[in-house]
Amino acid sequence: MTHDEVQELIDAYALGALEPGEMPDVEAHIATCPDCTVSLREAQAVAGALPLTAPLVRHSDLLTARVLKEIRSPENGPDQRDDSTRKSSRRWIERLAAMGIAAGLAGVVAWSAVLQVQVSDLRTKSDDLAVEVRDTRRSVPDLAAVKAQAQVAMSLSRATYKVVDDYQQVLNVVAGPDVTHATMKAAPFAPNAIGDVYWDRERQIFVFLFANLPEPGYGKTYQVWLWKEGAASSGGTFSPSPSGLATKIVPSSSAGLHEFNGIQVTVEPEAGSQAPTGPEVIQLPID
Amino acid sequence: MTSFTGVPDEELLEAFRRSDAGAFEEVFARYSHLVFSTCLRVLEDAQAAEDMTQEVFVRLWRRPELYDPARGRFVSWLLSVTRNRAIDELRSRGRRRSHETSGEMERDVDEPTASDDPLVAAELADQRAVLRAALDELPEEQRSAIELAYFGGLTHLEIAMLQRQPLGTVKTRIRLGMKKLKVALQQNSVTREQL
Repeated sequence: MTHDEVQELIDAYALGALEPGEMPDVEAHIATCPDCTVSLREAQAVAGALPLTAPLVRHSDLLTARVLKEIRSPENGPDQRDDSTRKSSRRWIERLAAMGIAAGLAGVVAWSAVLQVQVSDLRTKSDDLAVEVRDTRRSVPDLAAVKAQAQVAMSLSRATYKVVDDYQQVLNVVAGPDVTHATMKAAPFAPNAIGDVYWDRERQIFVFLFANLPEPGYGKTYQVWLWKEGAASSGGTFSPSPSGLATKIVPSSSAGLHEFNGIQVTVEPEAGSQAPTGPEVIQLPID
Repeated sequence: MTSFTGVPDEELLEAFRRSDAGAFEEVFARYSHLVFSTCLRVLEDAQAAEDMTQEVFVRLWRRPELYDPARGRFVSWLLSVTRNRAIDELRSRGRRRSHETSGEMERDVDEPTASDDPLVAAELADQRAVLRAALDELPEEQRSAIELAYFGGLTHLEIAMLQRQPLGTVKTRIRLGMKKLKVALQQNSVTREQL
């Protein structure tokens, strides 16, 4: 997509009016174009003002009572607010459960459709990158049943089942009791990218969850690097979905995150590289 | 209880990051009617709008760190988050409403104050007047395209199908309308810093 084409779409992007298929190209260009970044900020300022044009209606006093009662409940006390790891895990569980269940039920075609929906979801959450799916606490335990359905349904392909299985594995890790979690930091190449890394000591694997990743570009892919004593070892390559989501499972015989000096993801040629060569996408420094 | 009247938003947020429920109550008093109005504009269902308002504020209480002051003014962020959540809810219901300003809404001439805090209410009233006037001055086809996108959650292709217009026409209407709004807001100094 050319600069001029993106410029024509920036206002629609700020309003959330782009088609899901248009998003990756537009976001990828904006991420590397200072002019378009400025244009987007201006358009977002206008879009952000639009709620003030809604006719003003006062809510009921009952709502005030409901909200104040809820925030004072033990469930919403300070102890609950500080547990960012648990919330982060739950956020991803909800997202993955929704994605995995949809894939299991409707097959690869529907999986693509779900990813399209995720594009829309993520677009509307620039401030809140977590896509919280309602009632997913109920959905998560149902995943086993969904897997059973997937096995029985003759129309499901093996690939579809693998998708569900992969996500089951990811869910097991992020919901596990003995898991270390850290949040990665976006680099200028993908300023909106988010990433969480989970270390599962029992299974000896790192699980990476990413969102808002732009397309790495034609003939390119993303590669995970684990840095230790000045040397980077590859954690393998991966490509994001059209909606910018990705998971990566990296087996490791290490004792955990603290063994490394840092973790980073870079853009590399499709076949992968022996050492980082492309721009950094997201990283985690470890002291 | 500490009085938070007149305290800047950022200080209130700092206070309720420390679990000060009084600070949260002040934020709720300042902006809950605006949040509810935004939800109602999108969902067109008062009960659903109240439920969504509750969800937005409870979530804010649980995760105040989601707001990053570097990304603009608190009320602007809060309303954007609200709109996004309301659009999600609308989509989850599979609903597609017209979202062009209804006659009932237009009749709301005796508008209530936006906030229970008089100072905040006065400030918001000024901004609302500028924005409403700027939107009303747009040609109908540009205004409706923008409102259908923002409050209706429709893509430009969906708007084109709804309005039976070529996609290129809808893209142009959105672009021209947004450009005029930007100019109008800049002329009235309703800048990003203020919003």
